[in-house]
Amino acid sequence: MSDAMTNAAAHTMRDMGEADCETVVQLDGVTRRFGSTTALEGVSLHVPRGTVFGLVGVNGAGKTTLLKHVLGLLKAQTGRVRVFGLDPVADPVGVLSKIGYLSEEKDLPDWMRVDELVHYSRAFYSSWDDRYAEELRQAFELDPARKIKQLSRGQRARTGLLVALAHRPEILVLDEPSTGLDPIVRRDILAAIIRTISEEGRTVLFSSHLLDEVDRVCDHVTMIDQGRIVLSGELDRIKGSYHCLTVRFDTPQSGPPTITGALAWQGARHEWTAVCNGRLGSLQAAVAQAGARIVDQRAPSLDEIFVAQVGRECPASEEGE
Amino acid sequence: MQIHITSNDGVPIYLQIVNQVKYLVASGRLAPGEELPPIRVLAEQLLVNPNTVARAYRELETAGVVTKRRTAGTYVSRRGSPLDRRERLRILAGRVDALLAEARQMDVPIDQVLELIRRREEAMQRGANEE
Amino acid sequence: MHSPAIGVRWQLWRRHRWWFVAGVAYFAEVFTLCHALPSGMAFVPFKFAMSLPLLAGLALLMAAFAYATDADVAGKESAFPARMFTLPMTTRALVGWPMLYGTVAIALGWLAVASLVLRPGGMNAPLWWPAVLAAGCLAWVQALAWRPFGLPGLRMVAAVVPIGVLVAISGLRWLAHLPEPVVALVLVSSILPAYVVAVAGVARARRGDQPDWQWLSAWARAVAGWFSLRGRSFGSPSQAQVWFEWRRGGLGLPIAVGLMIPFVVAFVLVNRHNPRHAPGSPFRSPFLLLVVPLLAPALLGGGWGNCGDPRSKLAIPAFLATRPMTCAGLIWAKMKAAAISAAIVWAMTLAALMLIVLLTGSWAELAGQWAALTKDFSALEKTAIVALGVVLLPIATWRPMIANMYVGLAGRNWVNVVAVFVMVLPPVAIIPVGCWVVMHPEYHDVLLAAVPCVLASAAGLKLLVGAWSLRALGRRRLIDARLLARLVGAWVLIALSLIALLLWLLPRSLAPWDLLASCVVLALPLVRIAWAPLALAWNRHR
Repeated sequence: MSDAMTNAAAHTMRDMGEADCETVVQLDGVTRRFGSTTALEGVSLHVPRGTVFGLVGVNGAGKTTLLKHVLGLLKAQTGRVRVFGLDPVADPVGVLSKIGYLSEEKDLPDWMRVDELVHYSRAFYSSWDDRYAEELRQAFELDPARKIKQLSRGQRARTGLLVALAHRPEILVLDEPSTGLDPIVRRDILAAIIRTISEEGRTVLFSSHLLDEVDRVCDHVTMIDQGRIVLSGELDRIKGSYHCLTVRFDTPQSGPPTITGALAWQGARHEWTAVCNGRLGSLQAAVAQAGARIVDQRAPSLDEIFVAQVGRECPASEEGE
Repeated sequence: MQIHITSNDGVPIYLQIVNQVKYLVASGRLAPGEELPPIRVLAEQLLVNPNTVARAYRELETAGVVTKRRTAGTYVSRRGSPLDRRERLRILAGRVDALLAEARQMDVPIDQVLELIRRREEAMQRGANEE
Repeated sequence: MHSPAIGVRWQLWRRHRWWFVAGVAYFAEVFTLCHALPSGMAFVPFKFAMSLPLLAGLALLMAAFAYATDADVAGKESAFPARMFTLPMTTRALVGWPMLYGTVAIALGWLAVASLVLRPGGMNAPLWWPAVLAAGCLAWVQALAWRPFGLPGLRMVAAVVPIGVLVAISGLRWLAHLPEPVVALVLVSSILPAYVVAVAGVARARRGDQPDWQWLSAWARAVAGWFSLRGRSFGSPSQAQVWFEWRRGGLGLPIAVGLMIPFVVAFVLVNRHNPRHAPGSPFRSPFLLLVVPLLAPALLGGGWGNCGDPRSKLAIPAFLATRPMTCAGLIWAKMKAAAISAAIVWAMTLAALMLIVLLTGSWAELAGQWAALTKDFSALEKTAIVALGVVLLPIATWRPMIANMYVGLAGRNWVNVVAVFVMVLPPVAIIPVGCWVVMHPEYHDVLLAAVPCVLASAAGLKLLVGAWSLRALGRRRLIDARLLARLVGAWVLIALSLIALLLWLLPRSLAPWDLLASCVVLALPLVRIAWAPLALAWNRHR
């Protein structure tokens, strides 16, 4: 009877006509308000299969809220959410059995031992690979007889990662996985992401405010600020459309110059530097029109793009507040 | 194969891989015919996206530095000296540019710099002979 | 904050300000009521019932001053807030100020309630000794709550001693006819040892010196080892979830019942040798044990609705919410784990029952009582009664455990508060109503005639609400439509067969069929269990 119940909702709505084999996660016009604050506003996101998809934003921008919509922990107030063509709220079994989830909160049950957690999680996923789980456990150096509450934060993150990876999920969802962890655990997590993506057809969706990680590992990046999507696209294309230009004026300028496509200016008098968005040719023409010349041009790093786009002064590549 | 990636450099990661492989080939640390690690292995070693490594390997193949054999992997091409020589001269040119810029800043004229180079070469030669 | 005393006082006020305000408002209301209503005997039960929440409020006040509202008192760590250890205050001051404020506040609280509410309301409540008893109890509660213990649960066991001594001292007042000032002096002087113990305990907690009596609990962990997994694997997700729910809370009720059973056994055995109890008295009968599994779940077994860890009982942790299992499946696993708990409780009770029967050799006496009770029934009917008992009694234990799961599962604080009000108010209201009924025998016939109608309408209401809940379940696809139909069919079948059985067994005059039908419908669990998946879905998909 219980298995009938677990399979019960599995035959609910399948949007067969709209299921796109190439898009594993699809959000269309999702809005979410908590009381008077708007956490997400008109967010649309399409995660293609087989990519590493990065979600970037400051703390409180809406990344966790968005990921909770993907998992079905939040219902979209407007718009819709589809994961593998299914609605995660209507069909939790169908969606969650294909997702491996690691969150930054400590919500693994404290009283369980590591081997009990492995045995328990194993029963839920038909694609669980025992040998792979054992290999991960040895690689992470997890003592099977220890209780989770006795583990350090890094070990707890590794345990959560083991449980998320061992059933070879079709999509790995990580919510700020590196927060508060030492560099060795961060390497383990990045290595897990790379290993997952190397296997055919698997997708990784992760949110982070550590932009150097995002830069190394992601194919697609979406930047969220105050609930709105500021930037979205393939990482190479994004980095190709931003340039860090240093321009020099012959006469000292009293304030930052106005050149179309330039985001926050820095500098004084003769020389001004800014991250600019647009084609290089049109930017050069605009600089010439303003009466300056370009003395230096380089490709900005992802956190410089982020800082310029979001418009705040913050050390984006360091973790913490 | 020792490759080092810095992600905040502004230089795209695939380009860093390409440059470093070219340097290794040019300096002889990667011998002709030696196999490069598979894409997946190098991606896990460097902690970068496999697509980036794949793109770097494609660039290297286009430039003729490596050849891709259908099932057996990627190997350093046996084609020889013109590319190596070009690469070596390019690397040296970078060093010479840095030396010249510093000499100009320190206000040392060019013939004194050339004299210095010749004297240092003789000293190195004497040192090698004494060993 | 110019002195630590003011700081401590402000912090206590600030943390519980809404409860304080509500308590004072309620006090004012009851005060005006007790003075406004006429002081005849008729109104006394009503006034008493209204002032019961005030006494509960005093208990809450005790908990607030002991900092026990935010901490896990049953655990082994000290309940003293750790952040106060970094304040520039000596341990004696840290302990002394809350203890001083607490004892004074609770003594004044009782004095206020007794002199302003109870006495004007016509109840002759004593003034002084309950005040000092409450103050002494609070001091010892604080001392024990703030001391770290070696094992979880040891604190509750240790609390029995000083509280028991204090209650005994105040009981001595009647037994030894001691004058009230002497008793009050003795009780007040118990506060000083409590202060010393509290200072020692808090100093220990401040040093971080947490005792760990692992050697005592080694045997317990060995037993727990049998329940854990060594190379065992689960056949299905449902089995894994049942194991999870069992490990989370399944042992609570059996342990509590296991602690209660020896007391009841001792009680029965003592009464058998006591000439005051006649041989037919229920206090001598081993069947008194059956009360334990029927009462205990109602008092203790209601924790199955909680999903989170003890401190934040509300939000369902992401670990549970992301299990690839439907809400109905999760609820079903909880119900199965609760059933295992109930089964263990009944096994223990029956074992204890057989032990008593063997010890006292009262098998013949029991057989005689049974024959006397069932002399009107045929053999077939007797077996039917026994079978009914065997099936229904464990279900009667199981039902209260799972009936109120929906409250905890909903994960909203206001649902908890509303549920407490809805469940506490009717029993409190029944006291004055019952007293009024007892005192007006002329209305008894009318009331008795009205009972079947009331029950029938309640049953009809339950069926309506049940149907609506099931429809909501089906519409949200929380349960498969076919499975839902089968469950409803099973419920109807069980109800009809129970009604038929009872009709056959009971004499027709005692129970007309409509009364029986209403009782059966009201007894079978339907509505609140149907609400459980709805509440969980409401919590899981916010």
